[in-house]
Amino acid sequence: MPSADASDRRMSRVYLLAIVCEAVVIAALWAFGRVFSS
Amino acid sequence: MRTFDWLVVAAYLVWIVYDGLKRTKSANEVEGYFLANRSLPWWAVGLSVMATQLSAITLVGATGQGYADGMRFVQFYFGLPLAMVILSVTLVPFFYRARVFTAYEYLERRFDLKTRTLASVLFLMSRGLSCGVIIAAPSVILSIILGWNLTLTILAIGLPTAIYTMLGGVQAVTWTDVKQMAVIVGGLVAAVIALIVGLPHEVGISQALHVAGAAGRLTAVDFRFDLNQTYTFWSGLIGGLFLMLSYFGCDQSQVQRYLTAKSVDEGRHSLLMSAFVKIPLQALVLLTGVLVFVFYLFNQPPMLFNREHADKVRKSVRAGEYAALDADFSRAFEKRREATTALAASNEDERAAARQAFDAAGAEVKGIRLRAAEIVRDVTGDDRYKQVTGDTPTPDVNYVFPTFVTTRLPMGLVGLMIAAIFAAAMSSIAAELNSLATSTVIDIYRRMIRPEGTDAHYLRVSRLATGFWGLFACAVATFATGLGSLIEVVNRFGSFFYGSLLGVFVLAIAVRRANGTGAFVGLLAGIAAVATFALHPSTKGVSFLWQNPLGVIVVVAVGTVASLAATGGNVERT
Repeated sequence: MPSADASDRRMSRVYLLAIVCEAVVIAALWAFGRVFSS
Repeated sequence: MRTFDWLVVAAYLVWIVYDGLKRTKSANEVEGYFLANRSLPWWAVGLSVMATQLSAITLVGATGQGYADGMRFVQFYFGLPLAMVILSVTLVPFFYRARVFTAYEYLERRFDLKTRTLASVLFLMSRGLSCGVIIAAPSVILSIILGWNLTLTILAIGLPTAIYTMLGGVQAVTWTDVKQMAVIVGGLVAAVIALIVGLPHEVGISQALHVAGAAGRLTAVDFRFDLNQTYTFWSGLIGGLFLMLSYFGCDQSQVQRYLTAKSVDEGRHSLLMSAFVKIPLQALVLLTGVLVFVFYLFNQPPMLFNREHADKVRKSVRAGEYAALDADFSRAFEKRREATTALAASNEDERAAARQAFDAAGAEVKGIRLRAAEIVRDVTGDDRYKQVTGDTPTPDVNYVFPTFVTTRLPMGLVGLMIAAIFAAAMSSIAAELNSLATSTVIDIYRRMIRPEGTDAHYLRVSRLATGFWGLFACAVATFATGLGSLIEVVNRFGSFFYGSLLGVFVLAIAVRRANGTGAFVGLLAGIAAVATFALHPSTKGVSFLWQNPLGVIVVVAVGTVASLAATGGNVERT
């Protein structure tokens, strides 16, 4: 079984990934709107 | 609807009920019935979380929003991923370690019985009524669009759901949710393909999107800070964050989903999966609506989509005026179709002029629709026709997608999309019924009425409670459909509690000196503050998303002061 520390580190990476993905999705939606609205 | 479409809907219903009933055997004790013995995989829980949130009115309403107002509604979900991360770090491990059945049990351990009871009663009241609305809203739309009997439509959605939830418990809810999500996403993808295929030969997908962009339908992100704009980047990120924290952290219908996961990490993964997928999925729903808008630029839509109201006007003294307006609408549509074709085919040099002609033609169509809405308002007395969403009268928005589905899609796909609307409704209702029964039995019956019963007794009572809430929801739905404004009242009533409930949990975790009296007083003060803010003329126009941070701030502030006052400044821990 993974230790609590290893699990926490893995979860921290997943949290960071979730936030980065959100930023990318929002940027993509913004760019999509800009490209097709011009 | 043709026979084959009926068969598709019937096959869906039989499949889902059969699949739900299959789980009856594994729900033979209370923990199995309510929490699946905490044994479910993260991906199934994650899909169940999403299916619970995506109700039929979200599916139908959001496609209508996409049609009328474009993609901006997607901003409502911008706070979701952050909320999921915050919950995964804070409340989720608390709930798992405490091995609670309901979120409100935790409040008794941290504060006292009265705070737990108040929170669970607020949940039961608001969710019990909103469950009726979740059945009522799609039933009204489907009965008008398809010409079905309204009561039968309510029963067709409500009863099968109540039966499989009552017998199969949370296992039935989760595993049917997984299949219902597949039906919903499959239906949406099929609709998008049908819409793309249905474009005129001379118009490609890129040109169609440019036309949608010219009509302002693809502006998904609005960075303006305007409190009166319902959906902006800021209201979604900040207001939406608090709303999602409250919904996923304090609402038993969602908390119970992830309490069924195998471990705390699986529970966290289920929430994060929802965070990853929700915004793209919502964008797909809205894009479907935008493509319906483009479709209706080339194919004539009805002047108003709510057929029932249009029929009433045609039988009234203003029928002649309405018919003349309808003829004007056809002419205006033709003009707009030509302007749209010219815009789609325009090159860089011609675009500005083509866009001007397109905007002018769109304004003419909108003007005629609004005059038609005025006639409907005079004839039916429905004041909601004063409101406009984008260029469409607001009460018409929810009828756009079902009208498109039933009149424009090919055989088989109509049945699939109606099944998808059923799936969206049933998945939300099942989770609500399951959580209402859990809170009734665990927070009220077992805690206050009969604490010494056997597991078999509580299981029987749990099934009865699920059945009771199912019948209650169907009864509320039948009543609510006769009073259009009641649906809004119920939604507004529920929104008063969300931020305040979150405030109590924040108080529990973040303020060491908070006690039961402070939490109780703070919760009441938060609800009163949000209700005043929402109803007062000077703040009535502020987006409802800002009510959630307000509720949290008031509960934490008043709760802290009241806690200190109650103990004379001494620390009191319960």
